[in-house]
Formats: sequence, C-alpha cells, structure tokens
Amino acid sequence: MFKFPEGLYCDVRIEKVRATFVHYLKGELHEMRERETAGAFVRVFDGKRWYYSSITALDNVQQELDRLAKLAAPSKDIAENKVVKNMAAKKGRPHEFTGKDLRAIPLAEKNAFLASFFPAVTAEKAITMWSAVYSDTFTHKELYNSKGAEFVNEQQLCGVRVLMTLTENGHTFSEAAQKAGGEFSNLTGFRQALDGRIAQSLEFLRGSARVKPGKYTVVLSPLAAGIFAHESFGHKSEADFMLGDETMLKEWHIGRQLGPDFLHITDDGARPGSGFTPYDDEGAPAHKTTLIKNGRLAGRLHSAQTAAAMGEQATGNARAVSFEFEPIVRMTTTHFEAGNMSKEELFAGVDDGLFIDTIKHGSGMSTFTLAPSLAYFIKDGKIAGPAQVSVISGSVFDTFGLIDAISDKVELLSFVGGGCGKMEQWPLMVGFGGPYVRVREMSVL
Amino acid sequence: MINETYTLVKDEVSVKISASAPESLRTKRIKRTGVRVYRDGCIGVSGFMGEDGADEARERAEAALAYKISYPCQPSGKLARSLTIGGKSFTPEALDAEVAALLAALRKEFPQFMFSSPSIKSGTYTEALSNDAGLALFSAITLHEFVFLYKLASSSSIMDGWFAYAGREHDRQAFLAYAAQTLDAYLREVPLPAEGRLPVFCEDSKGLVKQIFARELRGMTFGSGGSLFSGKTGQKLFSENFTLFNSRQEDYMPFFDAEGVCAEGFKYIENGVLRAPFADKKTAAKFDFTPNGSARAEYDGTPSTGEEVMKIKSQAKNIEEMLGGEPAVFVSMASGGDFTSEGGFGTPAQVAFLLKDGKLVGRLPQLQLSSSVYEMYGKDFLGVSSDTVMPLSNSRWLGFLLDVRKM
Repeated sequence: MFKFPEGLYCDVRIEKVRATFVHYLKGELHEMRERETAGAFVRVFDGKRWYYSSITALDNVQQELDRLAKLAAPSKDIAENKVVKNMAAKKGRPHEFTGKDLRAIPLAEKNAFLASFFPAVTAEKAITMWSAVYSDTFTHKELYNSKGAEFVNEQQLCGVRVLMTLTENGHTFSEAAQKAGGEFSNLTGFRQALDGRIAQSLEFLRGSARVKPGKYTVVLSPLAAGIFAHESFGHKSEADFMLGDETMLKEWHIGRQLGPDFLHITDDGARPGSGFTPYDDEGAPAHKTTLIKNGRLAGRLHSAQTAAAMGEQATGNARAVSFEFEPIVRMTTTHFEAGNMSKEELFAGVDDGLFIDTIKHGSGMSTFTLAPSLAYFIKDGKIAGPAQVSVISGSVFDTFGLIDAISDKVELLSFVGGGCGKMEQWPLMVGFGGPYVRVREMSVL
Repeated sequence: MINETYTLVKDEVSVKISASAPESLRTKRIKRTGVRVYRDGCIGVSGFMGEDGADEARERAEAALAYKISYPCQPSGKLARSLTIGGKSFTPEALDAEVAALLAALRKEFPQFMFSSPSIKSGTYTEALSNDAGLALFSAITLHEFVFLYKLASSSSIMDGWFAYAGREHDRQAFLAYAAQTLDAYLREVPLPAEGRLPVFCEDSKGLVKQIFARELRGMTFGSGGSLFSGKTGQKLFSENFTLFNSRQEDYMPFFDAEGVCAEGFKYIENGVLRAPFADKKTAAKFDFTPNGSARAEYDGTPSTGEEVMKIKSQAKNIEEMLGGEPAVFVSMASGGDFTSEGGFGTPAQVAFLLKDGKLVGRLPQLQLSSSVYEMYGKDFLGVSSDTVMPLSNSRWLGFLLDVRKM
C-alpha cells in the first residue's frame, strides 16, 4: 500500500471517524450534526529519533513518508533496534465492530431519545439553566507499518448527558447526570439516574454547609475512587515518565509496598466502555495489567518504546487522542479491585468524616487533587448532610498507605464529554470506577 | 439566504523532549472548513477537512436548515479586515537546532536537573470568516510556545515544575535568563514567612483564579438566573481596581470571534461594577445583552458563547512597586483547585516561590491557598502589574491577599 523507505521503521495510522452530536440549551435545539472526518498520522524512526507528520490530505501520505525520511538518518541495522523489535510484524485479525452499528440508528431516533428526558428537568422549577447532549462516535482505524503489519480496528461509543444549574434563594449549584456505553441499548436506565441526580442536587442546594479545612477520613464513591486511582497513581504507572530517570525507576521499583495487602489496582483495555482499546495505536492488543497487587507495585503501562527501554512487555497502552498526535503511554480502564469489607461496614467505621460522591475534575502530579461536587458529612457512620468542599489532595506516596478499607463490589463507569488529559493530548476516552474506598487523614479545603 | 465560510488552518512544527534530549520532531498541516447557511431565522452548518468537499458541505448545510436551529440575528457583514501578526515560524530544522541549543545550555548550567517537554511549538494559525453579506475577515498569527518541565535528578516526582512562555518572538538569551531565575530559586529552599493572610501572586494568564468568571458569566446561565452574579448587573461587587475585559488580541487570538464580532476592550466588569456577561449573538438577542466578541464554534458547529476571552486591566505600578519592599508568594504551579458553587476558593500550590523586589529568591514548601471570589477580587485584590513576568510573554503579575497554609 505504501512504499516504506529503506533503513527506517515507519508506520501510517489512518483514522476515519463518524460522529453525531445533538445539543439542546434549555430545551431549544442548538446543534445537530453528523460529522465524517479522516486524517493520517505518519511516523518514521531511525533508531534514535522519531519524525512525525499529521495531515488531512490523505493523498499525501507517501509524500510525507518520503519527506520525513529525508530528515532521518537511515540505519542498516534498524530491524535489530529494540523498539522496532517490539512493533507488530503480522497482519492482525481485524477488530471490526459486530454489535448494533450506531451509524445505522437514524438521527431522528437519537434526537427523540434525548428529548424524552426533558420533562424530568423542566418539572423542577429550581433548575434555572440546563443543557442536554447526545453524542456518539464510530471510529475506523487502519495501521500499516514497515514490518508488514496491517491492522483494522473499529469501535464505537455513545452517551447522553444533562448539565443542570439549580438556583433558589440566592444559592446556586451545578451538577450533571450522564450515561455512556458501546451500544445504544447501554443507555437504558438513564431516566432513573437523572431523577436521582436532580433529587441529590436539590438537597445540596438547600442544605449544604462549607466544610472546615483540615484532615478528614474520606470515603470515596466508585466514581471518586476511579478518578483517585487514575490521578493519584495511574499517571505514575505510565512508563514514559520514567524513561532515562534512574530515581523514578528506583522509587517505583516493582515490588515496592505502597498500601495495605487488600489493595489491588488494574488497567484493562479489554473492558467494554469508554476505555475499550482492543488494539492500541501501535497495533499491540489489549492487555490486563496488574499495577498493584497485595499493596505492592506489580506492573507498569507501556508503549513499544518504553517497554524496550525497560526490558518489559508492551501492554497495549500506546494511545493517541486523534490522528493529530503520536501515540503515548495512556491508561484505558483503571480501577481498584474489590476489597475487604461491605459498603455498610466501611461507612460504619467513620465517626467524623466526608463522603465524596461526584467529582468535577482531578489532577495528578507530585500532589494529586480531586475537586468534589456532591459531597457529604459523615457522623457516626451515617450520612449527615451535604458538604461544600473545594478540593481534597495528598501525595500518592503517603495516601495509599492511609487506605484502610475497600468495599467488596466493583462498579465500572463509562463517560462521554471530558476525558483524560496528558500534556497536549486531551480529551482521551478512558474508563473509571471501582469499589468504595476509605482513606484516613486526607487534606480537605 | 446568506452563505458563509469559516476556515481554520494549523501549520505547526514541534519538538518533544524526554530525559533532557530531543525525542521527536513533528509537523502538522491541518485544514478545517465550515460552511454555514442562514435562511428565515435559522442556521444550517456543515464542514469538511482537507482541501476537497466544499460543494458537498454546502449541500449538507442547506439540508441542515430542516433541523430548524434558530438563529434570530443578522450574520455579520460589510466588514473587510486582514491582520497578520508575528514573523515567520521556525522551520523543522531551525526549531530542532534551537531546542538542542537550549538543552545544551541548560544541561551545562543546571546538571542537577532533568528536562522534558511534551512539545515546544512554533506555528502559524490562520482563521478566515467570509460571507456574501460583505464579510471578509482574515487573521494569521505566528506564535512560539516554549514549555520546559524540570525535575531534580534526585526527585521521585514526574516533574517538579516548569518554566514556559507563549509569545510572538523568541530570544534564546532572554528565555535562558528566565529559566535560570526559576531554577536558581528552586534550588534554594526557604521557609514560609508565616501562615495566614499573605500577598500571593501568579501570572495573570492563569485560568485557575479566573475560572469563576468563565463559569458564572456565561451568558445563558447568567440570563437564566442560574449564576452567582445573576441579577447583579450594575452593582459594585468587587474592588474599584478590578476591571475584566475582552482581550482576544492580548491572548494571541484572532481579532474577530466565530461570528465575526470584533469587540476588543469590551468590559464585563468595570472598576468593580458588573457590566455584562459573555454572549454570542443568539444569547445576546435572547436576553438583550450586547454581543461581545466571545462566540466560539467548532469549524462545523453552531456558534455559541465561549468564555475564556478575558483579561484583567493592569495598573500603573510595576511588581516591585506593588510589593513595596515586602515579601510575597509567587505561585508557579497550582493544579486541581476550584471555586465552590457559592464562590469559595481553594487550591494546593504544588510549586511556590518567595518573591522579593520582583525577583524569585527561593522555593517555598507546598502550600494550600484559600479565599472566596468576593474577597479575592474585593478587599483582598492587589491588582495586575504594568510589567510582564518575563520579556517574551505578555503575562503580568496578578496579586491577591489569600489565606496561606503549609500543606
């Protein structure tokens, strides 16, 4: 298909995306579009440096390959390079989508589905501003490389989201309800979720009190625990951060004790949902990677390059947010595994603490942060009213050691809108979730 | 019927750095074109990527009129203006050489640090909006974005901090001098003078401290009564010294918004008095606001209100005069903070420096900062300096009195 230049590793990723977007503002149609896009990302590697090009003119792929090759320094030993050895060499089994194709569902049906939720919102007078979105994407990717690999990968995701601002007596509160999945049928049950979220938001609007800054025992919901796992630890397990960094490698050595022995965290690209990645953008198949087992560091997330540098196996985590970018090491669906007690037992062990139900956003660097939306005081093991919290934060080195309970059921969640940001690549679809997680001595503002 | 074309072209080269060495060189040539048609108070939109597809997009946009998406306003017209800002962007070879030279200097002067960067970019970003009502707007902006992440070789963090700028010019020595000031200060640990209310400064481009206005001054929310500031137009809510205005050009954005509205200098808050929310034409028509150059749109999307176009008016004093000989905190990295629904503010400051006489003199411990929107932009507002934080960027020093605690 392409004439790959001699003495270099090359690959070409072609992405064709069909997307639907329906957006209402306070019940009035604001946007309704079906978009088809195509673009290509071209990579050339000479054993030392990578050369990339991102283009929308698909007829120019060969020209870009040749142009990048002129910037590179070909090597007759390129096939022996460890990174190149890690790249796929065979024609892969195509992962063509076999469920109900979102492209076959008429736009009118998607629009009517979204509009069916409006009465639940308009019935509540305190909701002064709201918007509703239906969105879906069907992505077809082709990957060709100079080792002879050819892959076709198709996947889809759809979701519905309602954002609400509630106002009463000079107080305001904003929240959202959403549901997402790989098939249209996965969106069933959204009405129940929306009704519940409206009721919670009203209670928060009418009765929340600002928390006094300090250290608290915090219980994280499956959503909050998922974001906690992602931000506090997941990013540190991405091996590209460790390349050439002896201190990081020593600090994050496999086997290091980070938390209690009932603490397990995994990343799994084969899980259906918004983190589903059957093949990554280098052609590596999905892999379940155990990151923490029995409280000890057990694995890392890799691309072909980072795996080669560390003498480990590629894990199917080389992902690009779109054809505009190169694949870098990213998470897929990352979550705590089930733990050591029931949810009820977990709450019962809190005399004076906080329950974090939903999260506006999080970040993960030396200090991770979570900005809660719906949060509650816990007194004597019981929920004791809504709490306004700006941010909770901590250091992953300390905080994992302060986890003292994890509930015994895992709930995984999918999302549309938003996503994970890493450097310039945002938003990447990922999955979150987990059990309830209890952490002592968390810093709360 | 009015036909309109919205074209966005990104022509960019970037270098990625890993472990203090260049890792990759990337070029981008991305062209997106939106086609809009207006008829009978409605808008139809479609688009295409690359060079081909205009006729088909026009047909789809006309077909989209059947969705009856209301657009009860007149498209912009009878205005032709073209503005090209900045010089030439780097060629791939030149950017590669510049990054190599910067890295060589940094490795030599600061061997105790490791450097990385997701992308050091140089590019020309072109936007054009034209229609058959006489609108012909063109903007080409050449921008350089140099972002270096640093960490001590002995540090077990992903990164310890960054120094960066975005601007129209590049000067190696000026950038290295800025880097040296930051890295020298990072190496010198100093204690926090005291916990409690302290003067705290950050770059005025920092979104964290302004995001409350992005959220609460969104036209639809404001007009619907759902904003913290709804119904308070004309009221003096903040400090006399606080003026928030439209700043597309100061933020390196085209002089026109996605609807062709040019409103540089439009004031949302003037001397502490709330004047107007962010509004695109449709939102403005609905609530009787003034369209104020804050519309944004996907290339193939309906224009809606954007909210990130805002700048705080600077004062006559430079940073040294603002400090008046007193020490202050400069927040270099504060990630993850937010405002509550009631306007309460809290954030960790992962990297903060002690600031004396306009210079960074040492690294403070990690901090927690808190206040509320009415306090920090009211009695505790210290203002924005007349001078920039570093010579290649137009970011200025923005200060507040905040409650400061060690983490």
